[in-house]
This record gives sequence, C-alpha cells and structure tokens, in this order.
Amino acid sequence: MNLQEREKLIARQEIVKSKIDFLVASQKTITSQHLKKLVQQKIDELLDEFHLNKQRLDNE
Amino acid sequence: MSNKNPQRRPHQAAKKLYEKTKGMSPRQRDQAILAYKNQVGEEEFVKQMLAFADDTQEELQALSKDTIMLKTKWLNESWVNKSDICARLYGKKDKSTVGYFALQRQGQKPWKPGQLEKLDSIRKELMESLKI
Repeated sequence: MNLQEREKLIARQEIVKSKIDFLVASQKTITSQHLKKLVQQKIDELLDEFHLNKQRLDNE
Repeated sequence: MSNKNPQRRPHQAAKKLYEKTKGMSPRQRDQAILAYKNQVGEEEFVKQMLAFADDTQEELQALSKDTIMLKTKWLNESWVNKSDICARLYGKKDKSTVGYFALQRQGQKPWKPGQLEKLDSIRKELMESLKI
C-alpha cells in the first residue's frame, strides 16, 4: 500500500466510524424490532469493514 | 409510510441529518434524530439510514481531495522555490510542465501516481536543509 492509498484508507476509517456512531444513535430511536435488526445488520457490516481496514493499516 | 421529500434520494436526506448533527452533543444529536424520525416515519427513516450507510464514496472523494490539498499546501508558501520543485518532480521545468504543476498546486489537475510521495520526500529534504 502506498502513501496515497494509506491516507485514503485512514480517511475511510474516519467516515466509517462516524457513520457507525450515527447509525447507533439512530437505532436507539427505533421501536420496531424488525427495523432495529436491519439497522444492526448494517452496523455489523460497517464494523467488519472497520476492523478489516484496521488490520490492514496495522500490518503495513 | 410518509415521505416529506419524495424527490430527494434516501441517502441524501439522511446525509443532511448526519451533517446537521455532526457538531452536536450526544444528547442534542439523539433529540434531533428522534425528531427527524418522528417527522418522516420509522420505515422511511430506516430506509434512508440504510441507503446512507452504503454511500461512503461521495464523502470519501471530497475528503481525499481535502487531504491532498492539505498535504500540498506547503508548495504555495512564499519561501518555496516552485521552479526548483518542479524540476525535481518532473526532471524538467519547461513552460508546459511549470503550467501543469501550477494547476496541480491549485487542485485543478490530479497528481500522478508516486508524485505525492516524491513531494513528501522533497519537503523533508528541504526542511532538513533549513535546519541549522
């Protein structure tokens, strides 16, 4: 990974983290269990991406 | 399902709320999100949130551009010999290269692969040479 790719990945991490925070806050307002679960799935996807990217950055 | 803004794409509606709540305290943010959810309805709200979660590309591009501009900001400092940097970066400083380099500094032309890394090492060399 070159410097530019690394910076892009770091920037993406910031966005993903910020989106996770926003989705978690949004999820708290939802009353339907079914819809809560849908949002949780999306949060989990973003969390997976965040951890994968973190591993990539740590291993470089 | 209610939708106060049918013409707006779902991810954009959620993005607007996301931007609006960015600087807020957690409590204020939670209240703003709840008010918005009550306004558009729960199903529409979730639809917008899911679309927004999938759409990171637009933001990433804007952020990358800002990051690059920040990284190359030093090139526009008065103490920087732009002509010399151009020669070191391109191996020449003819009219078209100098012109292209000026547009790159202004963010109007993209940097080529490897150029940002090269500029970074040029900057480090310059800073080293300025040390007493």
